Amino acid sequence: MAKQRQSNVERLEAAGVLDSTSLSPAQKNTINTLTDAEVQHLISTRQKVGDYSEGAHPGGRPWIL
Amino acid sequence: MGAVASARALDSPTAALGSSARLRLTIQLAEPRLNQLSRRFWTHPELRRIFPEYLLTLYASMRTTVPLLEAAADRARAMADTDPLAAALHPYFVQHAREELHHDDWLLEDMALLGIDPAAARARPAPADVAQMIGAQYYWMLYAHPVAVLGSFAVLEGSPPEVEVLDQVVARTGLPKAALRTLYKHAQLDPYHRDDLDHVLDTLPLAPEHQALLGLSALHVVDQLIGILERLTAPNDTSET
Repeated sequence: MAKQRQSNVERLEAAGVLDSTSLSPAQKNTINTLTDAEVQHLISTRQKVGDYSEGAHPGGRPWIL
Repeated sequence: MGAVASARALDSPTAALGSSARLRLTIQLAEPRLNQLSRRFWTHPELRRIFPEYLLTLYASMRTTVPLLEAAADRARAMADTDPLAAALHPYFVQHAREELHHDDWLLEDMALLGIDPAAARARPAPADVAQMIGAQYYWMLYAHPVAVLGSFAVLEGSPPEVEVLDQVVARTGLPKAALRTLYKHAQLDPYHRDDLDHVLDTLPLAPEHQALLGLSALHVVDQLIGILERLTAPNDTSET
């Protein structure tokens, strides 16, 4: 029997990008519409930064247009 | 495992997320590290020392905004006869180019207060990380679709500095408040621009491939900003990498 393909939510949770228990059904559905390229990018970004904590309120980004 | 995107950040209760919500959700999944670095930047113990390099790097990006929008408008106009999305985008690009006009000049005036010669700032080659961030937008605009530019703007205008944080920076570093004038102005302006962009995204005829392009563009900008902030906040080294 063919192995069932993982959903985007499952792949991203396995990579430490998200915690699915904090997501609404609509958010999960939306994440499952992301393309492979988007998902790979999110996983790659997560892998590059290693362990980190969200920490304090960022105060906005030091970037503007 | 480190922290992951949490319910605090992902709090939309809507049953079916629209285009702007899809893009914002994608950005939120990518931005914990960017948020951490933003905090590190604002509270950096040597912020006064790294501030001129920060403004020069920011200028290298801001000076491209209007030309990028004008190029996107030209590209959208050229595609408009056969592409309803391009036709719908053109007015936004034209209007937003007007709204962004001379913001880079404001920043030059701020930098002059810190002793940075505007002519030298203009002549300085852009750091490679900024060129990579902006250059990708031209690629996608020309070889995919100009809607890609909106993905970058969703990040770049999506979370401007907060006035309270800027006040703290001035108090802690002794930098003249006038040298942060452009940052203060954008603390007020960019939330409106962000809302305008979300409204545009939710009214555009976006196909799935356009949504994916928006996401890729935004994720690329998040990655580049992470690299820029890592460079600026690196210990005892503000040089370009």
